Amino acid sequence: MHGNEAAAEGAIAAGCRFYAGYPITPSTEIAEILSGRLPEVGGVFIQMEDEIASMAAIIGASLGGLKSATATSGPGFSLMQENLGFAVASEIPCVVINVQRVGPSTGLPTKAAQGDVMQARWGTHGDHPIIVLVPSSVQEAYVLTVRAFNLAEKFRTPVIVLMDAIVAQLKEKVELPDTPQVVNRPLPAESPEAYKPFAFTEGGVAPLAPFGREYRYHVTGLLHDEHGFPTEDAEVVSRWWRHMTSKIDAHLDEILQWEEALLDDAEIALVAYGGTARAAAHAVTLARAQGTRAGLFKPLTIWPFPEKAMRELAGRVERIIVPEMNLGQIRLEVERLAGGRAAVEGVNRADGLAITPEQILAAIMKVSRLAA
Amino acid sequence: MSYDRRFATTWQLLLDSICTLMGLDANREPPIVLSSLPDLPYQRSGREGAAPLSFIQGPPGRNIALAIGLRAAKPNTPLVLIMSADSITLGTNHLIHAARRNIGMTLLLLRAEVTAAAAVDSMDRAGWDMPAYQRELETASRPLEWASALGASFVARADLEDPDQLAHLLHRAIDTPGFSVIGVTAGAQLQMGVLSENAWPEYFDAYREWTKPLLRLAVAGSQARAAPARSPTHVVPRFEVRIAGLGGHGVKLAGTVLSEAAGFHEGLWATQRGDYGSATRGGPSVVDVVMSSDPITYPAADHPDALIVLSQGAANRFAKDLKPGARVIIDPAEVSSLPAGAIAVPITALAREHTGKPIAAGIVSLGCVAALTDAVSLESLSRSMAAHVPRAIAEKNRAACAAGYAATRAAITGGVHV
Amino acid sequence: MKLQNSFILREYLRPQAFPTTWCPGCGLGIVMSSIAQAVHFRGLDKNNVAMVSGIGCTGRMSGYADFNTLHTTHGRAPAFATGLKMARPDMSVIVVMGDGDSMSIGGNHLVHAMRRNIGLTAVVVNNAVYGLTGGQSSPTTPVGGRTSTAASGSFERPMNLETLARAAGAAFYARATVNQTAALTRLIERAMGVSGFALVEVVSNCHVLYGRMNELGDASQMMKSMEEQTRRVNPVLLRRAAAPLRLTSAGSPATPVSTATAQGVHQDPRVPRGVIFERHGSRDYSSRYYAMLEQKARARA
Repeated sequence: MHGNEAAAEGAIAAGCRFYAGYPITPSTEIAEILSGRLPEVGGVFIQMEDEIASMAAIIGASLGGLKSATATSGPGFSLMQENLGFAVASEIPCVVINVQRVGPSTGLPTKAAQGDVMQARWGTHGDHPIIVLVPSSVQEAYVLTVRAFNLAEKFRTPVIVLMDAIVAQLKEKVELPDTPQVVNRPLPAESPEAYKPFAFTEGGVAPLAPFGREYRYHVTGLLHDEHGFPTEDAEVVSRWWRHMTSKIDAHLDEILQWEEALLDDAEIALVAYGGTARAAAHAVTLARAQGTRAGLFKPLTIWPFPEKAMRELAGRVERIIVPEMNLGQIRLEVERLAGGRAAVEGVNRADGLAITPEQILAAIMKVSRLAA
Repeated sequence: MSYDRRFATTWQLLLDSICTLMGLDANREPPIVLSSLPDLPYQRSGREGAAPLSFIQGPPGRNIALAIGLRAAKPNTPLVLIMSADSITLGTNHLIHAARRNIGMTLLLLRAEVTAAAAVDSMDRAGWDMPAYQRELETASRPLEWASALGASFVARADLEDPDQLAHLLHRAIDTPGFSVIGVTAGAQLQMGVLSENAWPEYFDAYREWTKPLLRLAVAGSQARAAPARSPTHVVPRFEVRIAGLGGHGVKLAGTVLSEAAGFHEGLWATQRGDYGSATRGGPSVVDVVMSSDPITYPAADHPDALIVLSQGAANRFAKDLKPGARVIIDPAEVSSLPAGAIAVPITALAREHTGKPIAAGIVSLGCVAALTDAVSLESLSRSMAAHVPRAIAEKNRAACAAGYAATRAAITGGVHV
Repeated sequence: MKLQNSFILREYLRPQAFPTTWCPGCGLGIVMSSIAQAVHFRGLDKNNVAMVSGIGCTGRMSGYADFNTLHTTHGRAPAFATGLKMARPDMSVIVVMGDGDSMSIGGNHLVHAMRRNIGLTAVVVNNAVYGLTGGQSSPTTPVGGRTSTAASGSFERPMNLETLARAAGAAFYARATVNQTAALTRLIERAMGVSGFALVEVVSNCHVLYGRMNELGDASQMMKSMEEQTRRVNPVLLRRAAAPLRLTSAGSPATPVSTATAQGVHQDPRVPRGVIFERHGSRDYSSRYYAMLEQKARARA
């Protein structure tokens, strides 16, 4: 199974029953597979006129009560930013899978990159909470896609699965759970009169009633009160902000996921995610074989970033190396959190080629000589 | 944002029409209204909480696309979109495609098609001070004609000053399956009433009809999908294979057959990654397969244990990155300058001999790989092939694979190095 | 003719950028050489010709043609070209797009370029499929056509670009096929002489994806079937069809589109090729704009 296929099957397993998309390399297989799989399970596949429309359609379907997703790559992800912001502001659960390729613009369409890390965080305008998951294997592409739907439903937010072309096109053996744990959307417990579709609960969200039942309400991209009606009242808006940030911040333990390998006695930590984490894991083995104490920290949730764990890590190790297929986007975050306690260096390339274990090993050896 | 008084009246009229419609038939599902217009009449009516209708205030122009998703989820709920100039600016593409696909929704276009240069008009309303010459230069947008040209189910124009007509047309539009547009104007010298009708199935009705057979297939095939997992039968340290040739050598298929043989039939962990050329265009094609009884970290064969070279280009590119003790197999017919220590196996010739086609070169290569490692056996390769090679030519491919195996064994034991 | 062609091609193409990414037998090469010949026969200075393209197999054409060339983002070529034409109204601006590029993601820009009647020569190469991404449905995939996103055949109604162009207000619309090269060249040449938005739809073949998925044979077989599936338009019927569909003028009868097209076609199921319509007295938006500027300058003086 390859990564795109795993993401498509993960979506089906998570209960996705609506997909709207537009062909774009290297994510197209997801659409192709779902065009066959969704009708099999009674779901709807539609190839829209562009990515702007795809993003809008999945919001509409989600409001209609269907779990919805779209998949795209860099240029399409740029087009989706407008309506992605709408989904954030109106708290509509949906999943966007972005298979990164080299940008900017048309870039290198078939080549792998990790250049959309910051766009996934800040691509749509204005401050906003967002959840971004990064799989580094085909297995994780499946598991994290299921998780993306679960988090989207639970926190009523768009969730981005940020793949790279390495994982998307990689074919490998996976062991899938028979029935993954799936979060389904609860119906409101209160009467339609008492229902507040956008209730400001500290650290929680109101259940989202599907349109077309007796729960009639208003959905808008304007900043709104708990009933969904637009407001310019600064007091209400600041309460809205508290709600929006706390629904994520209060659940970091649940949202954040990372994996550590051989960090207990490590002097040098690698922080790597996505396809690059595979080369980093191999580099750790190679370094250990040469007697250098290296370890790996691999975030699976990249936004929000595992800040606490990273601060702790910076206190434990002497040096941190961040290999990534961009010019150092997550390195900025790691540097900020390390706060000078551990020296941070990057191994970067954005030329379409994967970072190899040897490149990372060379960086490890360089800093280990410096340390000695 | 200040708002034209006339629109408040329009809103009231439209919602009155919709409510009248609901009143006509108690069983009718209330419509969902979508609009980006900022005016919200029910706020004015002082009702906190429940709105008289479900209402989505989507981004300008995008409401049409949003409604498509909603239509997929709610096949029976009438969707009414109230749009202004956003239908002929940001929303044009969504409008023409919804009309072409004939997606079940009703668009009420306010003023969008009335002024001679509505695009300019929309800018005016957005607060731009457009000079008069722009109005002369710009040609009018005609969304009703566009929708009609693409075969929308129902296209009509209603006069705001005739609420009965509006309610009547709205009624008809909502009852028409498919895409309906009503231009809502006031006092313009334009033809009113039904402008065009076109019989074509509603998109999602057609979708459900079209996909019915697929749904049944899925029920029948659901048991067949589950395959038992096998644990490794033997310990295999990480073994990297790279097969490199040109598009048309069947390199991708070879990678698939090899990785699945290792993964499904030998119970190993296996990865496959490649950069494939197309058969028509030639061009380099390469696949990396990594097999191991332990989970695989780095999924590429940068330093292969076994390298199969099917073209001179591949030899130039890859022969230098070998693991110490690696085996290189080359096809002497394709590679003129042979790397030292390479084993010559006439791969494409064997492919032609056994299958008649050079595309079986990849399959012959797998026989060579099986001769170099005990990670995969000919038996598991042949079982893996069964899933990917048409039955009619399966036997020929098995023979080709075995020939690659035999030739490689002979070359190794006979010490035929070049 | 052959000798002359090769001379023209050397003059107007960029051999250093070859080979192209196109599959052998693809109609795009024919379209490109027809454009080069059309530019040559119109006697244009290639320094004063621009080619703007979008994304897709067709989008790559701007890399191979030796004009001022601009390879833009997906679907947005008409919008880039509008900017260029307004800045350089004297320049001949050719926009080359595929069916997905022009009609799907770029539908909005195409409609508004036609409405505005900006002086562009748009060549839409229609092969009914997304080639570069591997054979997905496009807006012109026929009902029943199998693609990688519609494995059991498409059920969507295809886009009718002809009626849309008419309704949107394009100045000129012609249809050609890649198997009739001389006619293709002539139609592009003629389109380049139009003041306003001129569109040439070129029916082309993707035998590698669409052809294979639908068992339509190789390039030559697909081209042969273009011969069978199209017919030259009758100039008499053409004049009748020249009156565009008018829903906006007071008192005009309601005309369903199906009837409007049926008037010209009768029972013939073959798709017409040749000049489908031409609006007389059309004037390019950019020239009208600059005329307005001159008028204002005169008024000030």
